[in-house]
Amino acid sequence: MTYVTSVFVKVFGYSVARAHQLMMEVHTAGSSVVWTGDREQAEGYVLKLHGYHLLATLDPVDA
Amino acid sequence: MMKAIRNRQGDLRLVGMPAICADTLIKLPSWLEDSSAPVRGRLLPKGSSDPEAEAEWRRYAVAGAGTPVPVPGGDPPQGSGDPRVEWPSRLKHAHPWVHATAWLSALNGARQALFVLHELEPRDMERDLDELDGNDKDEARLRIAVLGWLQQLLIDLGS
Repeated sequence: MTYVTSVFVKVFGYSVARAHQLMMEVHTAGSSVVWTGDREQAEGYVLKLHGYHLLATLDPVDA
Repeated sequence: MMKAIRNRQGDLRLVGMPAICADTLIKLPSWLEDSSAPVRGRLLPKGSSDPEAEAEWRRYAVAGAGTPVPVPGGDPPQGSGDPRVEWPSRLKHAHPWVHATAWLSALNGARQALFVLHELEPRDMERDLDELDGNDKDEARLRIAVLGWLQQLLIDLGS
């Protein structure tokens, strides 16, 4: 398991397989939508990912 | 030969550390605390793509953010184990397992800081470590690899 995969497992509680898939998206495409939901919760996730020194930004979902 | 050992309490000890590894751990706080704009920008990155939301983010989230830095040297907190790298006589490092997440974060932060400090590009990281020319960029590449190796060691020991 890589560092990024392990962070996705810890922060979001994803399975290793799901986290690995997201990590590969980041690796190949440069970014990935790792979570979608309420803004407040998303802000908490962004802070947590920054705490692990991963780049993460909050983007509004297109209506 | 370096060994990573977890004792009965789960605490981690690295013994027989190569000099480059010990030296990299000793220097780790200096990279995390580097005050240059590229490093601060990378370690406290944008939180939102929307300018208004980003300004709010800066005001409330980033303003109070510090970087948890495991500091080699100085007195460790009582009962928390010894976070020091004993240099140069024993080349040994120990920390309580409950600090593993903070260490993982710090190791990654130092890798990112070194990357931007030395203006490395992704293609630089693809070059073989056998091709070291002894310049600053190559030294940074080597230290990034050492930090990544330590990260992987912590992840493997925890899984």
